[in-house]
Amino acid sequence: MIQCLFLLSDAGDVILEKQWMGKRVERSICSWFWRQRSEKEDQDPPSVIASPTHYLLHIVREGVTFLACTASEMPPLLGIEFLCKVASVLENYLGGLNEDILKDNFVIVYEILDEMMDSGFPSTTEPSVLKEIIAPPNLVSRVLSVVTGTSSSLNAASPLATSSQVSWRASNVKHSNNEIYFDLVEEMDAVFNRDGFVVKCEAYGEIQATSRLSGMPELSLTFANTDILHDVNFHPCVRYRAWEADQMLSFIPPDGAFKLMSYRVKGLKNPPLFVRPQLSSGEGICRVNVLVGLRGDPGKPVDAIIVQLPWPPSVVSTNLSASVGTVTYSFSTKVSTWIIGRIPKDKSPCLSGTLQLEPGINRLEEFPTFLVGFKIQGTAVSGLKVDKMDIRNVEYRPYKGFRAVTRAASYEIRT
Amino acid sequence: DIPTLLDSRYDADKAQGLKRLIALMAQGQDVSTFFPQVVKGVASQSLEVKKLVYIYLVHYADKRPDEALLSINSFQRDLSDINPLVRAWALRAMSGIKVRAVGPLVIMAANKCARDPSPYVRRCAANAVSKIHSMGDEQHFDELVQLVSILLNDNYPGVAGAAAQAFISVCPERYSLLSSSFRKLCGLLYEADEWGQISLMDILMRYIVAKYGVVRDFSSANVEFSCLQQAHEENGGDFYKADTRSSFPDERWEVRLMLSSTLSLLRSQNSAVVLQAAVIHWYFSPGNELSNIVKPLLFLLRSSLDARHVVLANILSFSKCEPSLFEAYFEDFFICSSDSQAIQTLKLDILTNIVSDFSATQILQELEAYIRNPNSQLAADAVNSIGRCALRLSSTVAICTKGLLKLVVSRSSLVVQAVSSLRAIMQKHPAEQDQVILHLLRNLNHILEPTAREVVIWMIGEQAIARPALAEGIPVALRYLAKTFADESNGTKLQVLNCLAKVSFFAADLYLTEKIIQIISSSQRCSSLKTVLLILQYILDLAACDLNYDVRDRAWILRVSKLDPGVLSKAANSMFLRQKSVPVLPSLSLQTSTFLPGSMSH
Repeated sequence: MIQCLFLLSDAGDVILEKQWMGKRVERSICSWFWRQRSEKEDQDPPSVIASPTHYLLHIVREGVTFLACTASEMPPLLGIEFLCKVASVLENYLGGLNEDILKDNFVIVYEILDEMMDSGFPSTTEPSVLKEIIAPPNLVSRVLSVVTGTSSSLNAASPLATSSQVSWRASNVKHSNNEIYFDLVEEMDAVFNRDGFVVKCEAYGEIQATSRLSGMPELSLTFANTDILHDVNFHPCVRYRAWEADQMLSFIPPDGAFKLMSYRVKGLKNPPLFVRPQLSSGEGICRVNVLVGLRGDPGKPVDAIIVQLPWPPSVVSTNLSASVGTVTYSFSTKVSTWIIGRIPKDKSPCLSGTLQLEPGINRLEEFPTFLVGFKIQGTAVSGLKVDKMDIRNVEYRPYKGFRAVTRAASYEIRT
Repeated sequence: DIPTLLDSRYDADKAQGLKRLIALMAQGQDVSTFFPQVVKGVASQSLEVKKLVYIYLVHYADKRPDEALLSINSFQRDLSDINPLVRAWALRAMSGIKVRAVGPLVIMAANKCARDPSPYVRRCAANAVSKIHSMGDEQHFDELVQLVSILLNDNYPGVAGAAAQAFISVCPERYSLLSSSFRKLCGLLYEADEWGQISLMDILMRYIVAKYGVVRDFSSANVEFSCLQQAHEENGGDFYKADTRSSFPDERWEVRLMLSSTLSLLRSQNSAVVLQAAVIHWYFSPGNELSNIVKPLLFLLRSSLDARHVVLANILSFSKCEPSLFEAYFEDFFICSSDSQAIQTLKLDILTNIVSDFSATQILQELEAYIRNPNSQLAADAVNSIGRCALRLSSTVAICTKGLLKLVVSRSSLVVQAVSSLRAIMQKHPAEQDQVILHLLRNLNHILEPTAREVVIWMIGEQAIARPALAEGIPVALRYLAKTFADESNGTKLQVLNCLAKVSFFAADLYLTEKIIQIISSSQRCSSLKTVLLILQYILDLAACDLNYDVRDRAWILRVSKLDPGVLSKAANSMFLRQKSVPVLPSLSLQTSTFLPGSMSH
């Protein structure tokens, strides 16, 4: 079982430690871990490492490393999932996750950790339940505490979530404006080979919902085209049998923000951007010409286009200029970044220039992979469409909102 | 100022002082000197002060056991508080103070809380059981077991989950406790919280293995399950052992029930739950239903990015035993530029395990793309993988050898891997050798890496024996080697000597047979034989004066064995001319398939 948890800053210093089991784990394990990590400069060590005395599991969020130690056998993914849960709960509570925020709120963090794990095994991890037991710090309560001199982070009443029928929702939630929003957030992965053909293109999407509904509403959500979905997984509140039978999502939502479902659509044929690189090298100089353009019509404008060009180690310097947007080069990481923004209607963005290779190397032997980033607001490229959404078991008519956004995740162009 | 805050009459001040103490504690500083003052606050009415005091007490109780005992009374009073939170915290604190003297009191408290109306408190009681057990007191074992069985029969799913965890830590072998509640636990599985689901699945799986033995018997020994087998044999159950691909459904209702209850868990958002459910299906589902686990596992690679490494390691073990499961999904294992080193090696390993005729071209194209990648480790591993693909699938040998030969000439950094792969392929498929060897011979002067040269020279020596078609090429190569001998590295020199030895022994045999048969074309052979022997003599002389003693020794052995036609030459003969076994190109990542999937060893 998890014996202890350390939160490390991005320099390797211990911000916070929490021990659960009797035997105390020394801090020297953190310095051992940090040495392992700094030995391999570009790569992160694997999430589970075996040190001479303990197993170490870690995740990194925004520069803060969550490091858990265990000396006994346990499913490793349990530890990693727990760390992810801790990170998301802390972010939910504190509104952000970095070293300074953690240092400002030691006590809250310590109390949360104490409640989330009991004797090394995760106990209460649902954010809505935790919020009833330990009130999150916010401006109002801080002002109140200064003015009246009292500050209580705990509610005197017993948490109702522990006595309701479903473990993720209390029985008497009340909101003045009843509303529920659904955000379809999609990420597109694509790989293009050097001839410009698509090797693979798929979309990974999450439906994130924010519910401010009173009572115990029963929601059901149906989609127009579920047969395009290759894989799905659901929040525990979704009733699996309804999905199996009619492809309908039937659930009682937790209060607040939660991830309802994540899915994947494979074999897409419509990546929205194409990039045509041309690299020709000879006599120590390599000529570069990169063309970017829209391909197909996603329906909405493609924003925030940015191309990262990491050059191989044999490149010494670059001399590049772009017809649209700006190009910057970083000497330490040998990466050129081309920020295009939005593609104008009349000009096609084109990057051209030369690269200077190391002396002694005539031609470029290794070919870099370019990474493209973009954002399309208002559409889900996978084509998933929500058909209708019903609410039962309540007397009011809530406001329903839908939004969709697509981003590029791992959009690679091989040269 | 902390002492003054703690001693003040007002709860707010006490809370402030305690908060500061806890902040210091969180940073790792030792504040146990304030223990006596904090203990005084345990009887406070304010919830906040109580909670903070409990946190502090539990943390420092093992340093100050006597003083911690002072607070037992107030714990017991709080156990009867109206607020279930307070009852739970009191129990948690009591069981967290690991002082043996109060053991019986804690057990009584746990007993009381196990029958509490609030499920939160009951769950706390289940956690307390594990803590009491870890204190190491054997006398109360039976009471603890009884508590566990009461809690396991609870109707509330969250409590049953925590009770499952208590079961694992206290009495993991008492399967009799589970037999009555098996059906109920399977029914609660979907409603329980995610952590409880993991523990419940664990105990249900062990129960079934103990009762029935392992259904699917893999050739790699599963250490964990063999212990369970013993327990099962002791219980005297029947032993059912199906072959690896039984397609008829299992008649035992418990197995069917467990499989159907865990099927929906494959769609959970928690990667630990999905993996545990996949392991259950892996061991118990009949062959045709096994493919249920494939898509959820592959989805994990995308939905939980932190869990990728562990999931890939498990997929590697699965793909070794049943590559057909993953064959159609090879696209999911293509490498992205953001993957770390460990993940890249795992993915390459999996790709080589699942390559099949239908996916071979695409996978090889991908591997070719990786060779052009600036990351030199990835390029080297990709070359290695090409070799392994060729060894697995004979239909790809031609394409692979062509590609590898191109690499030998063009990319000097990858020559070693290319040549080692070629060597392995050659040993397995001797029919393709001629072109390859000739090509390598011609390019010997371009191959500058010493390790690569060694391998090529070894190949020449090995194959020259079996393929007389190369006879014209060999003396040319040997002449070239003789010229460069002095500048070669030590390893290469040793290999040259080996090669010469093999060629000359073989040639000597041939010479004798030629004399007997007297074929006309043997004149050409004779002249090349003479050349070989001359070169041998020249190189032996050179090597005898070499700086490295290994080279000198080997030259001496060869010279002596040539002179003495008796035992020594026969021994040398057998040493050099023996059939070598086909090498197995090692897989790039750690071998873990003998360990239980889903456990820490992956």
